Amino acid sequence: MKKIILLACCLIALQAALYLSSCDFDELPPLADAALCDSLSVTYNNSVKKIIDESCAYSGCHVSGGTGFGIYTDYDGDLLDALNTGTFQKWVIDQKDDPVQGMPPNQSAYPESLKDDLTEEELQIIKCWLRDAYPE
Amino acid sequence: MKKSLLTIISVTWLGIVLAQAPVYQTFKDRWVINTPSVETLPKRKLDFRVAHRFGDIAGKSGGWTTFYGFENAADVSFAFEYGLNNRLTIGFGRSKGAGQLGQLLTGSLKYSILQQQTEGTPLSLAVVGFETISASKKSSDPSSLNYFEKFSHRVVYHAALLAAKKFGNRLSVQLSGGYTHRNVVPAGEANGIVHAALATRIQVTKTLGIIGDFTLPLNGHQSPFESGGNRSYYPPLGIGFEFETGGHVFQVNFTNSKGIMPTDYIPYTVSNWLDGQYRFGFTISRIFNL
Repeated sequence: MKKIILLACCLIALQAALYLSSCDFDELPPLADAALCDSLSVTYNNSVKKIIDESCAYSGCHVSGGTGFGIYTDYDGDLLDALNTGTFQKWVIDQKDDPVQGMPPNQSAYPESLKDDLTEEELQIIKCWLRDAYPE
Repeated sequence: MKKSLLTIISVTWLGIVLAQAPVYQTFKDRWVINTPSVETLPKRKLDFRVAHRFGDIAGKSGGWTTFYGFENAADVSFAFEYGLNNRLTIGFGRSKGAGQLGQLLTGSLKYSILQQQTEGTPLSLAVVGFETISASKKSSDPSSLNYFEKFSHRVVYHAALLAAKKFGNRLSVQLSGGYTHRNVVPAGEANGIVHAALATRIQVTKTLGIIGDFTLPLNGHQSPFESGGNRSYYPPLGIGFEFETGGHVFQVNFTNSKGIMPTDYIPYTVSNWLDGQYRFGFTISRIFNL
């Protein structure tokens, strides 16, 4: 019993210490550079579809019958839903360096997968597309 | 004359004291779906909790393809809560996280300030605080929430004042107000979100209750009263059933919120009931004596 009380006290102390830790009001920088995005004028059809077809919607993954969550062969449907709910940005941008959660996945089981990560140029295109509310 | 007056005062005072009795079990559980209730654990009771929220039942991501969401896990949580005394409950849990941050470790403290009495004290009051730390892997992208430039960027705080009243034996209502603070936010979003919440329980039979909760963010892009940003947020709304089976409390629910913890669902609920983005979920609570 004493051990449990001790553990509880430690948890309270830890929590108190963390509560006292800094309370910040920070803001992330914009997702993409405005001037760059204006010059690129990214839309789904002019730039993004090619990237998605090569890195997501390949056989066995984000296509009909594939194991990827959602079919990304068209703008409407699962892709638009993933964009609206933020999961697309979460997996492709925010957690891109996570080998398991990040998309495209590292060490993909599918030979059709072209690469583990998007190139910097492709990431910029995707970021500009997201920043501009993913126009079709 | 003096004696008579003294006797009357004494009898009246005794009557008031004897008539006062605590109103127990305003809610059967420490949580009403996703909203913390005014209930604290009795001293030396340990509550082990498992909660699960599945994928969308309907809409573009639901239906037969995902067996109405059962093949997807929006969020999963395992947590322990412990009653240090009858008023103070501490907790610690781990959840998957449904918002932009994942792998969430959450500590909690809840203190019962006031308990409703049959006479005199009309309601119960409690304060609750949460601190969530994301254990997600760091991102190399400075515009990502997972960039974690400093440790505090992993942390989200939440505090709320809960006020509840039990009306008779069947109806309980809780109103609460609180503040959720993110140390870092995407460009243009508010660090602090103030919210109001409503939770209710209706006792239907001896073991079955109907429960509901609603959380209304009052500022920031999350609030329906403000617009902005390229993502739509929706107030979390849940309805469910609660079964009490002696030592266990079992809740089944339907909610548009994917996240389980307030530090997750208040800033990050982007699912809309009207688009079919509601899900089945359950919470199992098992209490142990220590």
